Amino acid sequence: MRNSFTRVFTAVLVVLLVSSLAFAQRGRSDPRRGVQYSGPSVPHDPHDLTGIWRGNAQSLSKEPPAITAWGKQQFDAHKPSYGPRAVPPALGNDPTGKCDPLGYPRILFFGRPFEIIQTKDRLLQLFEWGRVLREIWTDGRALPKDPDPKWLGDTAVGKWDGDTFVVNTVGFDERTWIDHFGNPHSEDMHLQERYHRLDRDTLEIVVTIDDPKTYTKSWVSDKLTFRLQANDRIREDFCVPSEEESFNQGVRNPAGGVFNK
Amino acid sequence: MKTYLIIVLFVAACLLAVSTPAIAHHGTGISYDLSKLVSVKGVVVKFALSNPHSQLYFDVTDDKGNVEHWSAEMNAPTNLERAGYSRRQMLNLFSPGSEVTVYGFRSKSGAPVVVFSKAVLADGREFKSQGGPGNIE
Repeated sequence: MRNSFTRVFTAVLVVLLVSSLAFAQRGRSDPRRGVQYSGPSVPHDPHDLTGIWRGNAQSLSKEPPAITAWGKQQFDAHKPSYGPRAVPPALGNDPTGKCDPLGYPRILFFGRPFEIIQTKDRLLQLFEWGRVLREIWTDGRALPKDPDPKWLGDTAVGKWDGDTFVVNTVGFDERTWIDHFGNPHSEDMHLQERYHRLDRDTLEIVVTIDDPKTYTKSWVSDKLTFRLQANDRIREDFCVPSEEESFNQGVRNPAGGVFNK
Repeated sequence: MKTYLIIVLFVAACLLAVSTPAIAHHGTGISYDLSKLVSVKGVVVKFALSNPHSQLYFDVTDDKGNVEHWSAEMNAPTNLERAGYSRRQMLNLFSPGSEVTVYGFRSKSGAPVVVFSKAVLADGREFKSQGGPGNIE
């Protein structure tokens, strides 16, 4: 009897350990964040990035590289509501508090899913937040030499390097923040992304920012992981200025100690 | 043997539940005192299913008949939609005039605003936060 008990106990512990590790590796179900375990990996085409993806990264990495004097000036002017410098939104100046576009790459960190659609000459990213559509050109065009600053970048071009889809983007509007923590960038930012579909359910993106006006060296992100949301769809999720203003007046401002603003 | 097996499985289930890491939520709730859950009883004035976060407005009347206007910051509409709640369901649940007890964490400023945790209506129906700083489960 004691041997049987020991065998059963050991078996259960092994199952417990293995299941816990598997759970930890694959992410957890969370209705708010949407990081879902969607089953075992199955054969996939690594050049097919289509699908609805969701991740939970909040920035490129924990620490940005050393910042320039100009960058520090921008950073200090930004008053975020997340991280160590957080102030109540009513007292901050996060552009999203007025429904300004999040821009790129910040929209990757907003916690809402995005869909990738591939066509003959473009790869399209449809972001749920704001129903923002980003075009990445795959028709062989070159980046502009003198780009205009835009919320998502003036032009994004992509091409395959083996099983990695490499995207380069230039021409950014420097009113956007890189992340929720108020890290800045300049119009001169050159952004590179490397997309790699590890398996059917996992998309990995590594982002590199080169912006000598703001940072003293390249900012290379962690491996940002996005999970396939096989049974989801992109919902309607607009930031509506009149709704935002109503929320600010009724909730955000008084909660932050700002009245009759 | 069966008894031992049941006990071992029970212990294993408990261990699994405890060992699973807590779900992390986006947002700092910097405007709210997340250390103290409060409850307020009032009457629904309006429910707004709108961005960036839904809002419940309700009036609280004290013993002397003074009315204080309260509000609760709730989940974003898409989070409620993903949790299975339609606009019609939400508006029906929080129809104007309904008696409601709202649980949440009050603003640090002292204003009558909470980040929403749970509501209990007079007929016993409950509605809980679907995540975020007000979540208590």
